[in-house]
Amino acid sequence: MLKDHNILVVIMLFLLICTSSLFGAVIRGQVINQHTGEPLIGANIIVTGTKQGGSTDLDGFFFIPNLPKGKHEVRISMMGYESTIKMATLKNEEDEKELKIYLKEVSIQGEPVIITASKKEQKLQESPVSVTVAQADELNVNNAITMEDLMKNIAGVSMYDSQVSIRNSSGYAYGAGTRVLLLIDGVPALAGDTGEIKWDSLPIQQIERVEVVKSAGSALYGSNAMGGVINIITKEGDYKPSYSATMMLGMYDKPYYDEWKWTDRLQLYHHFGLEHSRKVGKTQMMLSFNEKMSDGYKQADDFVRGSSMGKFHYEHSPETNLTLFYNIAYEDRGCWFMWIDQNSPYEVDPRRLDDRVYSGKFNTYLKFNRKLFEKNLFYTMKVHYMYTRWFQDFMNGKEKDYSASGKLGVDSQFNFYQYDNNSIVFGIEGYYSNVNSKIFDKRFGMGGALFLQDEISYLHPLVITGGVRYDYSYVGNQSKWWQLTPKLGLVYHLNNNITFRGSGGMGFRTPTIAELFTETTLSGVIEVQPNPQLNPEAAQSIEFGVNYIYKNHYLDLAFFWNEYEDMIEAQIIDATEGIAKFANLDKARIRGVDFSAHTSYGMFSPSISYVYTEAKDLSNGEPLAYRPEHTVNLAMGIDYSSFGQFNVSYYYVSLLEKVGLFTGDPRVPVKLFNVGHKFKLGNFTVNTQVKNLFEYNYLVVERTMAEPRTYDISVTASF
Amino acid sequence: MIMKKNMILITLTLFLIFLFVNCKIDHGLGPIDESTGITGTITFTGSWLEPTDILNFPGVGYLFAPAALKNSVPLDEMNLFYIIALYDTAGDNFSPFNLDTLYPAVGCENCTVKVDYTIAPLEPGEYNWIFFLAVPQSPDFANLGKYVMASYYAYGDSSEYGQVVVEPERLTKNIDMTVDLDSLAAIIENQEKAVSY
Repeated sequence: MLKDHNILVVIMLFLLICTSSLFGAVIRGQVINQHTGEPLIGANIIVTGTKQGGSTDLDGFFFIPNLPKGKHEVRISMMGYESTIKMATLKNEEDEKELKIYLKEVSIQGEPVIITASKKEQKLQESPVSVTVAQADELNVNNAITMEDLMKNIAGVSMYDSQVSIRNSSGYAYGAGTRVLLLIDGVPALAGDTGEIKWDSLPIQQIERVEVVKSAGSALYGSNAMGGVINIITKEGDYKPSYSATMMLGMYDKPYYDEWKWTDRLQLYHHFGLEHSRKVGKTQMMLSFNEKMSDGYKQADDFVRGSSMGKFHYEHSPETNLTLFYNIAYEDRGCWFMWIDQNSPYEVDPRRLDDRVYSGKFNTYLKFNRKLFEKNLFYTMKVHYMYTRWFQDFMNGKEKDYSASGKLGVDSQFNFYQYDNNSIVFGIEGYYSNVNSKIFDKRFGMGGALFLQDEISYLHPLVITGGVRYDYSYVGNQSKWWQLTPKLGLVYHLNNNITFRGSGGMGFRTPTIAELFTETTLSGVIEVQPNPQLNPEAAQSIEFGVNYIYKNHYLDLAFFWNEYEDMIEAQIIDATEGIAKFANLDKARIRGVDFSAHTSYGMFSPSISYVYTEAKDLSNGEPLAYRPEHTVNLAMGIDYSSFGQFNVSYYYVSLLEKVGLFTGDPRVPVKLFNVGHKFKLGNFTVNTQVKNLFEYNYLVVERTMAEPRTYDISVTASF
Repeated sequence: MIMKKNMILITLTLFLIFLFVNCKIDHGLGPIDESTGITGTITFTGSWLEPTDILNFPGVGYLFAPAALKNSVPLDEMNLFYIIALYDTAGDNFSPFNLDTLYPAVGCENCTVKVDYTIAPLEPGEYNWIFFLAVPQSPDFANLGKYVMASYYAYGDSSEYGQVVVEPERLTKNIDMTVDLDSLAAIIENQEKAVSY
């Protein structure tokens, strides 16, 4: 018996040797989802230059036999994942190489999934309101060092200095108040005092995607969302330990006109970032550190910024998880306010050269998710806190301003899914903010809200969404307001590719502590007076749109109409003395058309976005300040190979009909032309950019010239 | 081979775009050519208008509104702009220039305030009427005379507007005007006749 067994072993060994030589050299391995660690079924593997290839089995394994010896390029691709290339060297005809390949998930073009419009996951075409989704790669195509630069790449979003506006809902008020609600991973992130977005504290490199809801979102999100919502979704940690380092170096060109030259120094800017993510036990974590520095392209425009971000996701069970996020940032910057004159547009009053602003920001949230009752009911609880502090030292230390604010919020939300045709979102929110400031005094604010939204699709292809929210606010120790904001939305799916949508609703915004109580002099030039009698502003909004998505082709057209009551705008009340304050405009209207499209044809990926807006103060028929009629964004990506891409973009903003302060100053439309080249080789990505190629001089806001031509190069290494 | 073809195509495309844009390259804002234009002083004399006079001088009155009146003036009506305008010799070329920085002091009785101004760059040429206006944001240009507060007269002769020749790359000086607040009504009446020619 033993003898028979030995014979069997010998035969088996013989067969193994035979089959080994029969298979020739072999590349085998496993393909895994980089984020979840799960094996990927059906991934394609091709060995370049041979006819050999295959796909992964149920456990993610692949086996490619009969390869000649030598160095092979192995291409791994799968729908919904970023393709990758690995090199494998087979030393002889019987060699065997084993590869472990991690693929990164990417959104499939034409099928974006969003979470902001209805506080739940849904396909873009299911949303009754206009939503734009921008992936990190599309956004940071031009090596942006600031979030403000990044946001300009999103259709329908415009920036005035640091103030964001969606479809011209907001003007410019030196940062105070915003009609756009900023969320980080669905959690509010506006400063407790000025109610502004602290762009410098946001982690550019750690953005996964940005979702922009372009119409009033007050029925779900309350105050501040009346002009739209921007939700910055940050990256999740990876299953596979990964490291990434980015180094960017840039240079400001000298001014176009010799007489504008203000320094002989080479003005530089740089960014250095580190990121690490891994899974430890049941916790996926991501940590990043960023440092940015700029000499500035004008006097008193230099800055140093540092930040650290961390995100920890604990998967307790398939039903329960917990996410902890923090972001801490500091900034030390010059205090540019306005030019000396148009013949010295990069210079400030010499007495203001040493003015400095120092600031720190801390933002954190804890998010708890649990699936209940056989997965039909989902519960989410968010606790968030944001602390901001700034200190301004000006007139050689003779004058000082400061403000510190904290804002604590709690949000409980339930998502209930009844079969596939009824989905209900409801919840309760509350916040408390506290301000200690020289210019706003000591103030506090608090508020609470209840919200409910039902999405019914019994009548498919017609989907009806109805919602209502009740808000109560108490601001600055003396002003109390409540507001009921309803909304109704309809979506009609004509077929799989074409969807019509319509929505109507109300929006509102309570004045911020800054708008009510600011009492200061802006850089010694403009006296800002408080206005405690300020009323909340309200809007009635309607929108109709059509959306077409087919493979890589995307088209969206929307008509919007917003009627405002008591719109809060910064007003010059005495031009002689330079006195301003926030005041209510009786009635105002903002309406227009928003069009965006992108496609890809061969190696070309063109995109266009266009927004036409008519913004009027109805009490006198005058245009509202800082609202351009036309905004155009054109871009073309040219993928000349699997590892290289040229990109060209053109940004146009028509002449502002009205500005707030220096109405007589000459101004011009914005015409920006940028070019760049991205090159990917193995673990390295090199991105070179020339921005403002044709040295076009325009104003960011009054008496503040925009950047001259810049050149930069960034290298990112990911392992 | 394919990659080489693509590179040629890309280079060609970029070159064409560059050529297209470069044909009519626009650099936006530029330095102000201060060498061609006019410069002078506007002198305000007399007493500031009383609140009751404002009704008679729409637009003009608010410029000189006493401080106490500021809060009672509707915000939209405060949006005045102050300009110096020029008519060329053909009489049909109206060129207004905004003067944001031209704000005399307010609330002064029987005093004289001098404000220097410079209008540059200016098209070289011959101008037969140079005048100072205060205009609301939505001016009625058909009744421009309502808002004229001072004109330039040559050699102090108030019966004839002073003709000014603006030569290239030269700043013509001493184009001075006087706003007599005590006789503003008379001036405005005269200008209404003048502007209708």
